[in-house]
Amino acid sequence: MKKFLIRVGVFGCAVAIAAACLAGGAYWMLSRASFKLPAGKHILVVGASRAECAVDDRIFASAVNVAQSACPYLYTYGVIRKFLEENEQLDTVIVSFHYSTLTENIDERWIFRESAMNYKIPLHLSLMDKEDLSLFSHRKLMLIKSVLNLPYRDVVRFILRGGKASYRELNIGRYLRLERDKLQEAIARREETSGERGLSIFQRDYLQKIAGLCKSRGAELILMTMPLYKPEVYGEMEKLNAYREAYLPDAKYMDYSAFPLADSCRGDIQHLNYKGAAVFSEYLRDHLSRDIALKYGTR
Amino acid sequence: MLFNSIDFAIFLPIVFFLYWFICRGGAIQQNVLAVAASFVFYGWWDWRFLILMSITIACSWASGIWMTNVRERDREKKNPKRRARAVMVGNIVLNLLILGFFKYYNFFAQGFADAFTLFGKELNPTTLKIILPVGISFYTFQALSYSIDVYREKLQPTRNAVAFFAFVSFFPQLVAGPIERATNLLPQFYSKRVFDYAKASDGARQILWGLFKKMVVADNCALAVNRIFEEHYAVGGSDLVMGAALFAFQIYCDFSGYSDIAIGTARLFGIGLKKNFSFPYFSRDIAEFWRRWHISLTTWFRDYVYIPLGGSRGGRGQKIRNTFVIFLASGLWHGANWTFVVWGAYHALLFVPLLLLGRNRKYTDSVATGRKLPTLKEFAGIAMTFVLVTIGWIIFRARDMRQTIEYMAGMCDASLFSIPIHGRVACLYAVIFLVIEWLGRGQEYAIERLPVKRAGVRWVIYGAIALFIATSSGASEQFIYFQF
Repeated sequence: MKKFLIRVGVFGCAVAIAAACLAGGAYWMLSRASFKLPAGKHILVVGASRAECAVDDRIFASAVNVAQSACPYLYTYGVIRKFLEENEQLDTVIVSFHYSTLTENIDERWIFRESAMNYKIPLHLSLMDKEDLSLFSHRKLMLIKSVLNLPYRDVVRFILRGGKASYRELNIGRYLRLERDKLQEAIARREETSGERGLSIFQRDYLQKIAGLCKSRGAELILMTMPLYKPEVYGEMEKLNAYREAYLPDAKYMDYSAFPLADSCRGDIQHLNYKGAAVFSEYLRDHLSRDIALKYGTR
Repeated sequence: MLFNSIDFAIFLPIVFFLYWFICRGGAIQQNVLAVAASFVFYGWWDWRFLILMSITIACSWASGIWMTNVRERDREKKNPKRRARAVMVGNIVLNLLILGFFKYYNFFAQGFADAFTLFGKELNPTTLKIILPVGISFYTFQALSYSIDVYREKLQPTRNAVAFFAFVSFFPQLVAGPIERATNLLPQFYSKRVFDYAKASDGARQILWGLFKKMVVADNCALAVNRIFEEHYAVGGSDLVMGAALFAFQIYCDFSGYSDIAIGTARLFGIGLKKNFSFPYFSRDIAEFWRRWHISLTTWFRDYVYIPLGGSRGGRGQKIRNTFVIFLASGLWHGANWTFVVWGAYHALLFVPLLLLGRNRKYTDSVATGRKLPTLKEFAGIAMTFVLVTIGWIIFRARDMRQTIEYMAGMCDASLFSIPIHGRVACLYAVIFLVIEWLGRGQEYAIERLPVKRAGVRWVIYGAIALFIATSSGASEQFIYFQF
């Protein structure tokens, strides 16, 4: 019995120490990733899946798309902060802005649900500060588990590259080429959202923090609604405008929800597929500055 | 209380300490603690479930004694088994009524109303908000097997109520099996358990492997599978194929992982439970798959349903009928949904040709025994069986038959040949897992005896597995089989 208990105890302690060392080493490694962008990239595109699928930064070459599906503004804030710190040439930050991502059900689904924590925290840990982590103070055990789940595959890649890896290896976001063409299926299955939904205070606070950050760094913040299928039906545009006026009255806003696209350009109601992304990205490349100038005067 | 929760990580050492250090007086003390711990473990979900479980256990225990008493009294009578049979049937009916009410009431009420609608009559069924008690199918079947075995005089009924309560409610196997037979488990509670280092360390090793299966493979697969099945209409064909394949690994690692943890935990307390899985994905045909998958349930149905119906004796029609009966019953056992019934029928359809051709016992050994790799024929058999089983898992996992059909149709889309977006990491874990399983396929569980002579290297491998669990686990999903 004594032998068994000693062996189990020693084994447990050794594993705990090894796990802590591994996580510490991985964190150190990941926090050394370079976020430096090429000189021609001066626009940062961030947000969740709508932006992730809509902006092809190979076409819209002056932009870099680091949006990621199911990404709350909590993580977006850390991404923007890091990019602005390392890239003085960044003068514009485009933040995806849609009403369905501002409601309180997002808090559980995107921030506090264990699967969300387990996936997002390891990817963004090196970009988060104490204040960001304090949001999870009521879920300490899950936080520890998430921290231990750092992306070790990326660390291996870092090591193989002699520690000279960039943000791309961190998997914090990129343009996602969506192949699907399933608009009709999505329409057929869409469930009506019933009743009024409350607003997420976390999304609101972090969106306001993003606005403050951009202002302090001299970057122009543009809230952008990406193209949607029938925005008047599915976009909740009136609520979105009311929200913007209430919480972000000074931010510039570009509404492309009604951007004309064929149905074959849509992956589903909310997302563009690669055909739609190509058309929309070309448009942004050629006309975004003009559109902003037309709406807000000189840039 | 989940095996992969912090609650259980605290609970287990406490019970272990009390069991071996405080309850040193004898079997009675150990059994009382086993029952108390099992009630705490089960009541952790909802204390009301304890009442139901206690009724099932108490009735089954009493029916055993009652059967023996009436048999003694009726020994001289013309039909000495008649009253004993009535007691057994009474106990079976009572238990099945409880099970049926909690698990199938709404299903049958709705089905009845739907049947009326076919004839143009409207019927509004009274559906109830019933909470399904965790693991009810498992402990009910375990209690039933005792009753039937006592009636068949395969087993002497016990008058030791504490031992009987410990037998049915023993917490490692209470909520998701293995479904134990009284002939194996009950006698173990009659005598005092003595700590055995070899048994305990083997148990700890099996727990480690079970946790790896559950937390690393199953939970990581679940992340991708849940998303793909939720959005099956919107994802490409290759992702749907990936989702189906990953679900095959999820359900296997989830359930067999649970069984490994259960068997390992029981061994820590000096109790031996039966093997529940035997590397089913290395089966060369469907018949072999069913000898290796959820063994405790399969043999339960074989012994208490299939053989009493005549088994594989009799004419062709009788064989087909009996096969369908057990597969449909097995499907319905999993839950009140038509998808489970269709899943059972699908497997019956796959099994019947083998039975009729007399090839259902063709493969009774382990694949590639004494060789490192299978032959081409064996590999083809394994791959074909896996594909057939995976198609069945789509039916099993789908919300309803409509989703099943849509899912399968979506797989035949042109996007079948694109690179899948979801589940790449889970796929990597599944491949690593499959390689380890292959290397250890001749054993009770894959890492029972590592093919390494030096103890230090073995410890490093165990450490690496534990580190994997600590650093690569997915979100804690509830064990799939709890709902059954």
